Amino acid sequence: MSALQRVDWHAIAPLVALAGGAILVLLADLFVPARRRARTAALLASAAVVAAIGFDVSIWSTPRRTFCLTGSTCSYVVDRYAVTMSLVILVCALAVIWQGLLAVRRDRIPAGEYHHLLLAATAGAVALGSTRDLLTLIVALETLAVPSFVLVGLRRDDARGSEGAMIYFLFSVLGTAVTLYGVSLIYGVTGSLDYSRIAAGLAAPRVEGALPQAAVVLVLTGFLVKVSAVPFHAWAPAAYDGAPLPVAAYLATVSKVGGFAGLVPLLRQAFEPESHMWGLLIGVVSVASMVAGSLIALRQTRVIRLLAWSSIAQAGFGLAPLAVAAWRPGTLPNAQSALITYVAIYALTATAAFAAVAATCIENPSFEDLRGWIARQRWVAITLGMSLFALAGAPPGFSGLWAKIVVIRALLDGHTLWVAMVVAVATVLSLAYYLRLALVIFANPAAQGTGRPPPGRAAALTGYVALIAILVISVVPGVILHFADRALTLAP
Amino acid sequence: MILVLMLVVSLAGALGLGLLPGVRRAAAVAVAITISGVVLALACGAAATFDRTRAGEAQLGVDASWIPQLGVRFHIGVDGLSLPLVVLTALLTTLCCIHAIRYVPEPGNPATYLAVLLGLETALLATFMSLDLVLFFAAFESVLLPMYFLIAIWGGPARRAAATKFVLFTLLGSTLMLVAIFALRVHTGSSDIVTMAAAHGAGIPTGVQNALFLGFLAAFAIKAPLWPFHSWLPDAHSEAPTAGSVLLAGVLLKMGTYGLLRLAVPVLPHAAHTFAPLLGGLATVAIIYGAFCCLAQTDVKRLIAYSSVGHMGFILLGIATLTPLGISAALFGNVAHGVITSLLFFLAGSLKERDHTYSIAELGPGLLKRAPRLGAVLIFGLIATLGLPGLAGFWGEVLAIFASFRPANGLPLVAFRFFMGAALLGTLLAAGYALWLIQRVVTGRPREGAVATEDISRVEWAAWAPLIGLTLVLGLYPDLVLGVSRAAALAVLGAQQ
Repeated sequence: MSALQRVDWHAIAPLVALAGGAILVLLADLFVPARRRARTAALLASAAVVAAIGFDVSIWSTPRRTFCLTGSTCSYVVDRYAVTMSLVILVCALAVIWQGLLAVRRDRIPAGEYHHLLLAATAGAVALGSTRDLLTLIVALETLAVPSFVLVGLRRDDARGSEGAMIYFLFSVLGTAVTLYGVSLIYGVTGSLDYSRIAAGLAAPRVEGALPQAAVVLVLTGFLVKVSAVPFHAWAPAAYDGAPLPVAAYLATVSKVGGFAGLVPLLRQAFEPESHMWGLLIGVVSVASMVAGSLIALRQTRVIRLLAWSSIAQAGFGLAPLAVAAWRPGTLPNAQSALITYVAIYALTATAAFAAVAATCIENPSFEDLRGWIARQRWVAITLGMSLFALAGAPPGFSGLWAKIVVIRALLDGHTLWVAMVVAVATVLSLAYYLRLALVIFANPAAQGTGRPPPGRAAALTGYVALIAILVISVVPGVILHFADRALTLAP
Repeated sequence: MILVLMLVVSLAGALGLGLLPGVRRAAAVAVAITISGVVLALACGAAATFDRTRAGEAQLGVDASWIPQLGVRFHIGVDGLSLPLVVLTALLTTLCCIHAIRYVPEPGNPATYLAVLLGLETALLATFMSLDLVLFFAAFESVLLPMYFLIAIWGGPARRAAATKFVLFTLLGSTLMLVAIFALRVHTGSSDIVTMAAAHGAGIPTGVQNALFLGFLAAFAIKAPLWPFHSWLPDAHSEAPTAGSVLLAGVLLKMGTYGLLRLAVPVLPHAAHTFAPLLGGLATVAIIYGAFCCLAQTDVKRLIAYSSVGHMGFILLGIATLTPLGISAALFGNVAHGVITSLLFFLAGSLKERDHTYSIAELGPGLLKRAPRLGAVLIFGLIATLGLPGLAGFWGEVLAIFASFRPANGLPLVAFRFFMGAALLGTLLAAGYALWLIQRVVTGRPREGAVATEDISRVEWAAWAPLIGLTLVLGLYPDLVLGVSRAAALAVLGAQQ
């Protein structure tokens, strides 16, 4: 009888691909001449991500489990939900790699280290959707977080970058510390770290009083920091501002989707007995994020800050479907499908927006910098404009409209009318600030420009591909809905 | 198929012109006139092949599966309710493109300007043709953006604020409508307007009906605009370019009344009965208030805008009576107001081009002496707007007043007869502002040193002649529209007559 745990390598193949790629990138950096480093690193990293995508697709049809104890509980379960979320994460990571080529070259960011950190963090994000065990959850969360701190501050000679990295680091570490404390309390209350056993333990708690509920709230804190929901959102504008643009894109897409990915199994499986409490909590947090994020975004005059504050509001939209747990927990599978749809469409749209901003080759542009950009880089301006409308959910950005409709439908099916009303009102607010920027882009140029900027081709191409994806989803949203509807359930 | 073709052609024109902004003005205008002409021809073809004996049913349409996971189908069609509006949209867009031969507003970019106009046409046509709730909503929202750009880029000095106000007002209404739409879907289990209208509210509890009706009313009252939700209209009109005002007054406002007749009244009849007195009361206030505001205006475009508020008040009063006569009056009034007010806005635009002002005082008396034909057409438009018998405006108003004398069973008779009296007073006030405007601008002796103004050019004749002709024809032969509207009105009201 072997004392070693059997590992299902197929289940963790995406992680292995990413981790292997991370190490390979770092090694290759040593052997490649300086002027080819950026492109080589990007190619290797893309190969790793594509391999991970391939492995994920191969797991789609049957769930796989690994890191199992001799009982029956497993720490790492890859079901359709996990595959769907990790596919979104990997596609966004691919986009981040390619739109980052320009920044890596221009800001003299060390290419090998940059891609290594990116791949490592992506591995953490991918792992988050599959965890069924609080300790694995923490490990995955930290694997996502720690490289991010360095990524944000990677522009060494920029004070804003260091400041952003420090703020992000402090918030994130504080959040993780609170989560760890919550984990220890959960262990005390339920006697286990495994999701199914925690659920059983919370249903029949050994401890009187509100300790189980307090523990649940503490554990959620770290996740709310990760998805930048109010009131743990304040790190986002500083971090997005100080980070290099591809890292800001990464924070808005990969990191956020990873946070969502880990949150759903935790809530639906481990904390299921407390669903009334966390449903209400998530409802309040999502409403606060939508409102606060939108109101403050109205005041922004710099593009990256606008995208940061709007991503706080978008986190609110994404969390909203989970609020049905407090009223009709029976509709949670529907809500999960709505969350997946919204998060997937949001991630693609945000990718297009950030890629278009990267393609303008302007360092941290303000609204005025982009005035009349339609005349200078027509397709980049169209990409940015379309992605802004899609984020707002207004025609012609129909993809965002379908995403909002799916969320509202899930909320109405779950009899959570008040959150649905806030979603509607916040949509109106969001249109105000997205439209302002779009109008500036499509206006007439203020004066003659200072010559054509060098085109960021890789970033522009990434933007165009993302734009095509948005257009396809706008006309045929069934493309995403089909997969979201098959990812309703979570394998234990 | 013909309807799909209309949408495809106008969308293709919009995208084509939009993605090639460097095209020269002459070529862009030629393309735009061709595209909108084709759409108009298709619309007339649809009107010709439309079966008038079955005007209450949707015809010439398409019903295809689109998003099965959301239960949304691509279901379009026209009936007596929407066919006149579809033809009106196509006609007005063609006339705006013809107008662009002569005048493209500052800051230029003719290809983009025409692309926005064609995009607006696509969205408007889609709204009138949609027979699926979610498709209707998507089309309803799609109208906002082209209109926003039309005002915000090619508008007057305070354009940004006016455009933003317009979009945010309308969007607030339509997002409330979205919640109502989804609640409606939950209760009826379908997204198809035709099936829901045929069901006439069966199976929806009264309280829910009332709440849903209010949600729909929010969106359509802001769009119509119904007093007191009208405040976005004068600003939008005074800042919009001529073509924008023409389409805004001619077609966009009709989206509100169309929505009430297509969605709110047939699907939620009990709630319609409950809120009909409120609607009638607000409509009457709109008639009086609009007329008084017109009397106070010093800017000719704002005056026409407030007259729109008054005319839409008549249309909404007709709807509020919930009788076939009243709804026929509303449908006729839709078309009549569309034709007459568009003509007036074209005229206002021409006055602005010549004298560079909208101010009534500066436009000065004696237009008839300075530019006789222009003055004559302006007189024609203004007396059409006051509802002179023999011209189109008369029938919409008088039929609405007749309908208000005898509203549907169950509606308060006294209240509606009071509304009728007030509406009659409103026609008197309308005569007041129209005739006073004629006196101040058209008749009389021109000021000292007034320059002789260019009279109507050929392009302007081409753009206005159809409107002038339609005003006369509809006034003398209202059956052109009333013939299809009665069956449609009966279908809207269903079993309860």
